[in-house]
Amino acid sequence: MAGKKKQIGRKVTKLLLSMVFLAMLLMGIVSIWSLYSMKDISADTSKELGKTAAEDAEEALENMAGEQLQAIAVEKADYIEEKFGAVTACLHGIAGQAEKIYADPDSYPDRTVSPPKVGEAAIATQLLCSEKLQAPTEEETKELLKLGNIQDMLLQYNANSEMISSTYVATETGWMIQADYISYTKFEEGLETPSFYEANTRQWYQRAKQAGSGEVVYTDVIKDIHEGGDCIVCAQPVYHNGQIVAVAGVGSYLETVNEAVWNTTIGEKGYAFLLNEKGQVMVSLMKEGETAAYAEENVDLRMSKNQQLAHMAKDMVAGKTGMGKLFIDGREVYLAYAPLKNLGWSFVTVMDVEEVVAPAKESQNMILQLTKNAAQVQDGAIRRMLMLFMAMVAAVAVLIGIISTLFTGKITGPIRRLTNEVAKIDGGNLDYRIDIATGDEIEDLGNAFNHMTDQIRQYIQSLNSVTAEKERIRTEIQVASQLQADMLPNAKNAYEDRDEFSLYAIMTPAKGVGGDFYDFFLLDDDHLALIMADVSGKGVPAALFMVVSRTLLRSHIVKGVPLNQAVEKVNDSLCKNNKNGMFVTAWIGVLTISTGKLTFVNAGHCRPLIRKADGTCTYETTISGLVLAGMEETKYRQSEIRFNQGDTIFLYTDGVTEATDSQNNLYGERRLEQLMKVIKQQEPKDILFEVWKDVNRFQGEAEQFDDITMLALRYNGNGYTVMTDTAKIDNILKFNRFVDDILTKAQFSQKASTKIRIAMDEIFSNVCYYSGANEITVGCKIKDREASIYFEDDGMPYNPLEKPDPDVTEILEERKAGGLGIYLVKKRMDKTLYEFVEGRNRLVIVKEDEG
Amino acid sequence: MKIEVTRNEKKLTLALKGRLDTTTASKLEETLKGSLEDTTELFMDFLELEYLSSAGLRVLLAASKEMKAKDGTMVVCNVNEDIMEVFTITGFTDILTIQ
Repeated sequence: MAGKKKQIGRKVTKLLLSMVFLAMLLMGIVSIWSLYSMKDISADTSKELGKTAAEDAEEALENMAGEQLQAIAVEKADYIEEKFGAVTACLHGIAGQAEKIYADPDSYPDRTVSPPKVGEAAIATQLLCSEKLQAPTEEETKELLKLGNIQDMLLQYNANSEMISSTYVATETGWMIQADYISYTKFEEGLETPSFYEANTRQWYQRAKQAGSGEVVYTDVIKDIHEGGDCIVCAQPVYHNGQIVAVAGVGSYLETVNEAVWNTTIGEKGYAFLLNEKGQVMVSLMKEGETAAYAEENVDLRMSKNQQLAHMAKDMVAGKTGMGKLFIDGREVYLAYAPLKNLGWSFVTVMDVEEVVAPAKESQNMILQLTKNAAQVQDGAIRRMLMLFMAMVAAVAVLIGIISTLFTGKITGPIRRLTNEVAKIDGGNLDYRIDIATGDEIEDLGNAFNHMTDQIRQYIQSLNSVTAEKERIRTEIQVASQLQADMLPNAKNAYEDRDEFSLYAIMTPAKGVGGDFYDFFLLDDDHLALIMADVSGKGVPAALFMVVSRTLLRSHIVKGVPLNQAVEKVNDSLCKNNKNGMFVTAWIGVLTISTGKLTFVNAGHCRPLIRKADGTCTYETTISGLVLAGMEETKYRQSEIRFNQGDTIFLYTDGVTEATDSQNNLYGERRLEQLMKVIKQQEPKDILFEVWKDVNRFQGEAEQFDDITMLALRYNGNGYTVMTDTAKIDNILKFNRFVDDILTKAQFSQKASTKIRIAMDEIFSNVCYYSGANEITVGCKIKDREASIYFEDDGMPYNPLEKPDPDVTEILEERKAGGLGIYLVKKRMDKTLYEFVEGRNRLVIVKEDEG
Repeated sequence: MKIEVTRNEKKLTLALKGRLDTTTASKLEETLKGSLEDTTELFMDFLELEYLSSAGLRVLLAASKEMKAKDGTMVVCNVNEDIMEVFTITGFTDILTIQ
């Protein structure tokens, strides 16, 4: 109870708390959401700022780097040009001097030039000549002697310049005067005389031959023929009288140029390379990749797959100055270039973009880091605020809890009192009165409880009496049902001692007592009455009417009274005092066991089904009469059918044919007929069970509405052995033998057999002589030492047993012979019986064995 | 049925053998028809007669009436139990002389 008492209080507290929590939760969510939004905005702004700054810085850096690169390229190009300027000055000097000598040879003395010395490695002038000058003419010799004056100049220029490797003049005639440090290289291995030198086959010579006066040409970078190192030759033609008579040349080592390239340092990863007029990389700090020197022979950067690079290479070869950003070897770089105008080359500087913009990236990262730190600080502030908020909520919850407990106590007090009061009624004390005067709804509730208690008390009282009444009626109906069931003859083991027929019957009432009934009873040893009936309506009235009907039928159906008359009497009795208008449908039949003749009256009942021994099934077709208790003075017609051995009659009430399944389909006569045809069972009990099973299966889940009552009778025959032949006296011997055989087989005594034989003689002769019959049938059976013989003929109806007995006391003269025969039969047989069945006379005699 | 006929002047003896019934009675009737005129003493031996039916009784009654009419005698002898019963029932014991 202590727990329950606080329920309402708890509910109120819960409600208040829920509302406050909800409000605070909403407020909390909104404020925290706003704070986070603000934080996000400031973070975004910072990021944006950092990015813009970084971009600006990058741009500035890029510009700076570009300018620097450009400056380096120009500077280096100028430097190399300058170096080559010194070389060309020498060349001009040599060519000028040679032209002077050619112009005025006579003002110069003859000077011989020594051939190279074997093993000489110091600077020296040497004479080399073409193979064609093996026998020089006088003029050619003179040309050499005069040109020999230039050797000092050659020697001097060479010695004074680090860049110059060799100086020389070669004539059209084939002479060649050269100053260098490598005299020893002018010999074939192991020879004492220097090798021939064909100057006019050399590139420098050939190019110079194409040049105008004073014009300088450059060779490609070539391998020095003697030394093997990279070098380039500047050459200038020597004109005399408008004809080229010789070519002056200066060989320069490329180390100077190379060093200029190699010594170029740009940042950490920057480098330089030299591109010649054919678009080939001549010198490069890059050892591999797109810009490596001599990566492949004749690689032309203008033809590179790298479009940007190819484009720039074209500008370079065109002698332009410029810079740009592009990808080389997959890396983004800045590239600047400046032309070496005289040589037709370009000096190219390259620098990594990454390296250039690295400082800008660094500063951007720094800004981002700062932004992140700021966001963390903001998060911390928000978290602290959240904690504070939750603490506030907890404090409010405690406060509300205390307040609501105090407040709800006031409301729940009266309710608790009412609960206690009601608990007393709960104990079963319906007389208790609740007394609460709070003046509010609680008082109304108390009054309502009082009213309800009264109502319950009254209801319980009436319920008690109704229940008792119902129980009494139920018990009575149960008893009545049992009585009704007991009233019907028990079909189990009925007439087990009779071989001629077997029967079985069942009744399944739909509910309580029903109106269906069946009945069977023997009128005498040879007559069996069968009844199948259905009283209109159900329940107790129907059951009572059934009892009356059954009793009347039982008492009226007696031997000797025609069946239709008996039924008419029953009908009249039932009609009297039938104020409720009840009625009975009934089928009533009497079977003559010895003959198989079935006499019946149908009073509005279902047509019985007859199954012949051969399995054919038909409904009995006689037109039915009016129902019993329908109308007083009703006349009923009786009909007959004849059973043969193995025939079965199936009687039932409409509970069978009108059984319905869950779809409201009727079981119907046709289904019953079909079933009967296929049932293999012969015994009535088995047949009924099969039908019952089939009807139940058909009904399925549907409720059984009507009583189901069935009766089946199978006629097993009368036990007679039969012989039929023409009704003429000569055939009597045949029939005698037929009966004799049966009697002898049964070891009947001679005495009894004789009496039977005489009786046969009398009856047979009567039939032949007087009845006008065409055919006679004799049946014979022996049971329990008793012989029964019947004679059937199609003659005119005549009952010989009704014939008056002859007077056996008259004197001889008065005596008549007639009537003695049948008289003898009557006297000497144990039983005699006459019937006219289906147009045939039938006389039965019974004789027990004697002795 | 066989009929053995023995005549000794006016005495006629008929020994019947077998069954005297509706099929054989006419035979006895035929036999008697031509013989009774000269007979005053009719003797019927039933020793070997198995039984008789009303057809036989009719012939016996006719013969008995005829013999009585001409003051003759008719005797039935050696009657077996069954035939005697028939005679008794039909009252023939009163109208026949049975030895």
